[in-house]
Amino acid sequence: MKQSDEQKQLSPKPTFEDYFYARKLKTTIDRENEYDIPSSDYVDQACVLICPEKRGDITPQLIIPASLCTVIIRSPDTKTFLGEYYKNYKKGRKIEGDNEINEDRFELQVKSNVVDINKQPLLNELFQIYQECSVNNWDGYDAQPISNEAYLEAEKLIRLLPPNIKKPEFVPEPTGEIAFEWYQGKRFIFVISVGGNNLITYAGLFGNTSKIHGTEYFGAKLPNIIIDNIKRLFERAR
Amino acid sequence: MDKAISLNENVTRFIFQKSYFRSKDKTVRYNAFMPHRGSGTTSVYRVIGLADVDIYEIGKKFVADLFDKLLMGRADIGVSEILKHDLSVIPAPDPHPRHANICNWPEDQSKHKMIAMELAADAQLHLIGGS
Repeated sequence: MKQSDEQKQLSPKPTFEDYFYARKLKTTIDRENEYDIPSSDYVDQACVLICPEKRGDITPQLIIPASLCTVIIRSPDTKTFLGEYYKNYKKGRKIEGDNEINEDRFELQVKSNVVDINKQPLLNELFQIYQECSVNNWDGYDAQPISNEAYLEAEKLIRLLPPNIKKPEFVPEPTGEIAFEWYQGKRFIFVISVGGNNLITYAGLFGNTSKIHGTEYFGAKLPNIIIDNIKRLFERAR
Repeated sequence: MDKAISLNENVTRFIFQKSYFRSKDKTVRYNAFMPHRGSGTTSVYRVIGLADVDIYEIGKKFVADLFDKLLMGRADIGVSEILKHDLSVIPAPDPHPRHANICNWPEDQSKHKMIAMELAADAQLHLIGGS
């Protein structure tokens, strides 16, 4: 008997797949960014964020550590297990569409201990911005809430940032997008933003006369123009 | 209040959000000037002839209190700096005679960002309590 089979028999812990059913269990992005969540042992924390019912079927394509996913809960035990997270989250909060919640279907943030250590602080900061600005009028000027789709896309963007790129700051935009800002001074700045529609909007100032703006399709890779301009900013500002 | 807005005037954008400025070097962030998606305008107040205390009084009474937000400061900018970008500043005396809107933003969202960056670079940040 193989060792893994023995372990299974000794501790018949439910696997991740027992807990969750989802459409895809792997990312569609670069191989090196793929993470499997092999079992529930890898799930450190799961917290219900929003009831997805209001917004129809928005199941994200990715399930990766610390990512959001829509799950369908299959077993009654699991329902209880996740229900606790949901109850804790719900305490003292007004949740839109609360009356329409189907308790068999939650949107969760699943955190795994399989993490890219360098990216985790960024993911945490991003999540904080999302929490603060995912409500209407977060700025006093009727700003659009940061959408779940924008958050997910920003998360994907973080994972695609090359390791040698300087750490950005996250900026919520009144349009409901999340921006990544690289700042070297008032007129040395490059910003990209995502809103969950597979587009990256970018703009930059490189001194008093050079400026740039545009939009790029955001697929499986970060467009080269984005990387080039981040590098350009730090080269010019030296 | 004069109906016509002069090139020599300053307008201010009240700030209720910590992400609208950089506390590290006390500068305004571009998102403070981005237009509202629905109206396509950026709401500002004309501050000519007003002392700091009077300016903040407007921000508190006509925005902060209405939306239950904390007024953190303001970003002042010259009207002439705004007009450089083919934008316009139009009086909109509701809810206050000094209220105005920065209008005529281009349709391209990425251009919004770039213009807002330039406005932010020209703006002066004033934080309440100087913090």
